[in-house]
Amino acid sequence: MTHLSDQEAAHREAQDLLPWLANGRLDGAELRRVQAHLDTCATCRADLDTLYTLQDVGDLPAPGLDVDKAFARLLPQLDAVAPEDAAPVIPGWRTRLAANDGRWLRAVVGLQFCAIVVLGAMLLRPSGDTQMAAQDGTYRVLGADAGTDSIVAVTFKPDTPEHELRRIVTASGAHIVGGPTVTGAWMLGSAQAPADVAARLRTESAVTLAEPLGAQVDP
Amino acid sequence: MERRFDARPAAARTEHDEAELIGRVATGDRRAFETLYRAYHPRLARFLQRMTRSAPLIEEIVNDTLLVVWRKAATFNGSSKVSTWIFAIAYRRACKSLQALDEPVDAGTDEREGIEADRPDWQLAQLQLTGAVHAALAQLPLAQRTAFQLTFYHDMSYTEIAEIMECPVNTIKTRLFHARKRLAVLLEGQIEVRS
Repeated sequence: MTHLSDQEAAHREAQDLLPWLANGRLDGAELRRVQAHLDTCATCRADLDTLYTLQDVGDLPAPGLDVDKAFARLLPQLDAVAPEDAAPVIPGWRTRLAANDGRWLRAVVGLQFCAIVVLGAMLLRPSGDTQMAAQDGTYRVLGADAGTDSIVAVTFKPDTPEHELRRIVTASGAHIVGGPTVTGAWMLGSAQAPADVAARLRTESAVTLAEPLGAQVDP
Repeated sequence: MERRFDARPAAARTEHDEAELIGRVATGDRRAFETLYRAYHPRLARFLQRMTRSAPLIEEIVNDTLLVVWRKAATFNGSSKVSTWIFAIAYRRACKSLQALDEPVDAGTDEREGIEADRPDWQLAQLQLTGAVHAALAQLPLAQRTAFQLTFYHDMSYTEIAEIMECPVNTIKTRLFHARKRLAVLLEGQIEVRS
């Protein structure tokens, strides 16, 4: 019974595949199975002969179209449309970019986890700058120069106008960091040598006193 | 009837050459395109003449098909044979054109009618058989006729035909099975067709 079923299955397969046995496009295991079945099946052999006959007599000759004229008619259209470039994305890119593709999703999740760990560690660790500032007790307002200025004390004649005062300070290469004090002195800061700044200030007739005080000032 | 089932090395060489031509067409090489055009014009025309009897329409579909090949050569990725790719374009174009024209999709009548009288008897019998087969094939539904034609007159595998007609392989096998059944009825007494 099983043998008969196998025979029937082989016959059915051969019947399905006979057209491609006839055109020579059958190969591998299918070819071997169909050829083996043909050895035992007269019906399939007769059908195969019939298919050969259909193949031999059924083809039509190519219609008598003039290839040269047809190509000539196509030429103007070739001028109008250039070959398109290949798609910028290679086949498969879209599927690889799909949100449900586990290969890159796993990598991204791993990277996210690492980033969270690093950020958490940074959050828990005390800042180095804050620690140092706390240790030396210094405090600096936002925007203040991190460098150390030399300080020069300067007094002006009482009738010196404000714009003249500003011109003298600027010309000396300094800037006002404090004052006026109760004695009317202004504290000037400068990155230049305090003696040089003081010397320049003394050349001004409106300046009554200019003395270097040393470095740094607390505002 | 004894036939050989060779490994088709020549076909493999042709396939390699055609893939190379497509690569050159993609760069705008007109000489390569003309070579491909001259190779495929008669093949496509022969394929299409079972779908329409209009020679101008056949030429239009062939030129439309090969213009697509010219424009889209860069998109050919080698996943199928060049011939499968081109025939698939032609088949789609033909279906579209025929639908647009609402033209009945049948083949032309046998042009060799009327010349049998001058032939010896065996030739007469052969011509009568040829005419009968053409007439029978013309009566098949388009899908069956196309699958039959691509199998027997263009030597394509069922996989290639499935790609061209954009359907499963089993559908192609079923179409061939029904085509043979129908031919058996239409050619009864003229040719031995069993299914």
